[in-house]
Amino acid sequence: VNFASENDLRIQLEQSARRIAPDTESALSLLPTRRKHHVRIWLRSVGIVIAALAAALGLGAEGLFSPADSPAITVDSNIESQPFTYLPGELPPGFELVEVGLQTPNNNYYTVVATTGDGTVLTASYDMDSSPCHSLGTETEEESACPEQAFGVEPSIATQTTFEYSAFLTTKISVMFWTHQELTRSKLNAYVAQLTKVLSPQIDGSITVDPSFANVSFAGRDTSPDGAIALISGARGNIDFRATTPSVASAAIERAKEQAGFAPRELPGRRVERNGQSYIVDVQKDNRGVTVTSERNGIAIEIINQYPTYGPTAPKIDTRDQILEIAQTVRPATKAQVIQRSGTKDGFNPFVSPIIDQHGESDGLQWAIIVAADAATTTLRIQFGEQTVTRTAGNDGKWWSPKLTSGISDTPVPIRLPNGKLAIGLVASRRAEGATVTDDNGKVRYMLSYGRKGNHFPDGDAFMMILPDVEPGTHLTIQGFGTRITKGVAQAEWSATVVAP
Amino acid sequence: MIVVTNGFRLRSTGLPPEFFDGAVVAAPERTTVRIAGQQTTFEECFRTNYVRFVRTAYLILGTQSGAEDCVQEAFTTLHRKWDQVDDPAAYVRTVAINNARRVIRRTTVERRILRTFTRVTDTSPPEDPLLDALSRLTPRQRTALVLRYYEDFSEVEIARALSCAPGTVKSLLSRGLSELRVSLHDSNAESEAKK
Repeated sequence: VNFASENDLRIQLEQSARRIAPDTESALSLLPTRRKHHVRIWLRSVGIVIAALAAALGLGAEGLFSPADSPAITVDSNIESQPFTYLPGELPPGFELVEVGLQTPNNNYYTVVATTGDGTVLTASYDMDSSPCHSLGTETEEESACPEQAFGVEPSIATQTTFEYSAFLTTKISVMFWTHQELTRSKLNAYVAQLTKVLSPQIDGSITVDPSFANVSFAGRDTSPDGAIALISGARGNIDFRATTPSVASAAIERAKEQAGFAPRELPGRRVERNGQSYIVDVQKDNRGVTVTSERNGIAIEIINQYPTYGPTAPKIDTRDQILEIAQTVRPATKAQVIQRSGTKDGFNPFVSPIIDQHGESDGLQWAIIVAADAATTTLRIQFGEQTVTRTAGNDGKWWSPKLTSGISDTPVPIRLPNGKLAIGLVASRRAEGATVTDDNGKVRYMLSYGRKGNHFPDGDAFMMILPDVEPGTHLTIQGFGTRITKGVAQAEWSATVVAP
Repeated sequence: MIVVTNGFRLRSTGLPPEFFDGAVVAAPERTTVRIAGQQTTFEECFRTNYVRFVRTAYLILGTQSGAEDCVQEAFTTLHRKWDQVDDPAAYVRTVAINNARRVIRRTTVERRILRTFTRVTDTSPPEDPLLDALSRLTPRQRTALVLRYYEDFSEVEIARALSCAPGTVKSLLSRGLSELRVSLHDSNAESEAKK
């Protein structure tokens, strides 16, 4: 493909463009002209929300919709009369502090979780990061370098500005908004008071206010039989309905479902004890990851594990049981004692490092991983007590995956231990941060991580994973991940399957 | 000279339509008058232009869903301002292009990272070499090329759309074409080598 002249280019552009065939009718149906009947439904169902938003924005709209105007609207919250003062440790009456913890690699984001014990959860987060990336409202070329904007996250959400508040109510209503410095407390109080007075339990969605308070939006679904879906937004003084594009509506609905369907009931933030250390298990906002934070001196400073949150293979966390199950599998990486290693300055490379020999101790047993490579083959031998398993492969790239930018080398070697447990030996390749092991049913059986998020194993470090209760013949998929891209996102780079002996 | 018929009004004067009924007036600018016989409904405007504009945005963005969103957003904006816009098609096109540029700015890093990983794992030839080559240009070069050679904009019109000087547009087009040729040449060479 090339073009000899500008006319050639015109023709080729036309051909490329004609490869897509947008559905005009479908798109037209989403525009306001076809949505009038939906809008009417919505006006009846959620019109009161507009009044709440208007009131919260100080537009003096309280009188527009009084409770008498909407007798079907019920109040279902026990925080309506509880002014929420945002100070860590100072909570509304009736709420008990569950967790205060620092998050993100820079420790610049902390959360407060409180509950009344009956399923109502308040979470508040504060972002102390004041990097230039957080200036909104402008769109310069430089801004696109902000990592927060790299993955399609709405800037108003990703940058978090300075304050974020979420109120998860038992009515499956999720209210989230992002505000800006001053007015936060009063606006927040107004929101909570107004919304809890007027929100209908039939409405399942979320409300978002952008940092400048210039725009307000409500995204969600009316669970009435009509089941209308809409995105409402408006500028200050001009709140109205707005048609939305398919992807925006879809994303909003998904977000609303996730927030309302999962977070209110599951109470993340559990503490677990492992290997004499205390960890806090939390679920990432998109429900696609679990963050396990190691506590030290009362302050959570290490995020020791996370799922890869990017790509089609990223697992989705659905239930509290799953969280706790994953928490049970978390292991800090076994520190191997390097007996002998030679290699390049940058780390181990089997093609130039003839041998490594690493020893460690797992589950009370001594083990050793010995890797030998010559021009033709690479051999990985695992010794566990008296047992030895050896695997050999050619240096064709499949063995060590030298082309990968990160991950765990695809040399998982399973071995059945005398105590019945299954051990799997691995050697880290470039920038590997950890691995997860799932069984035939997709159940997570093991998670392993180097430690602080964003750091990685030294190239060539060996480690051993010990899995209890694995039946012989079980297929286990090991997925390595590494190379921190940006906050909270790790890229899964490699996976392999072994059959339990 | 344009005949202004019933239902149309000379917007810049603020005079009511009936003032001009049957009159023959001079129209100083095309955009100030809706020319007789060209009045359309919103739906007609949508049906006439939607596909074309989505394809334009698709060439700029490289993704169909993103292009559809940009154009849909533009039509949504148009719908709100239908009574205030004199040339709906041009208005939507401008808004859609601006939307596309905004999306590009916001996803530059994403694209770069995705491309990095794609190179590692994806050894198959790109689905559309031309789109792939376009995606390697800077957003402004890409937009300028698409507007020039797909939308047949003049350099002045492109300059207006990109908020820059016509001289800058010439530079963008010239460099864009050169880099597109190089990129396509490299792509062809890679394909040949694989064969």
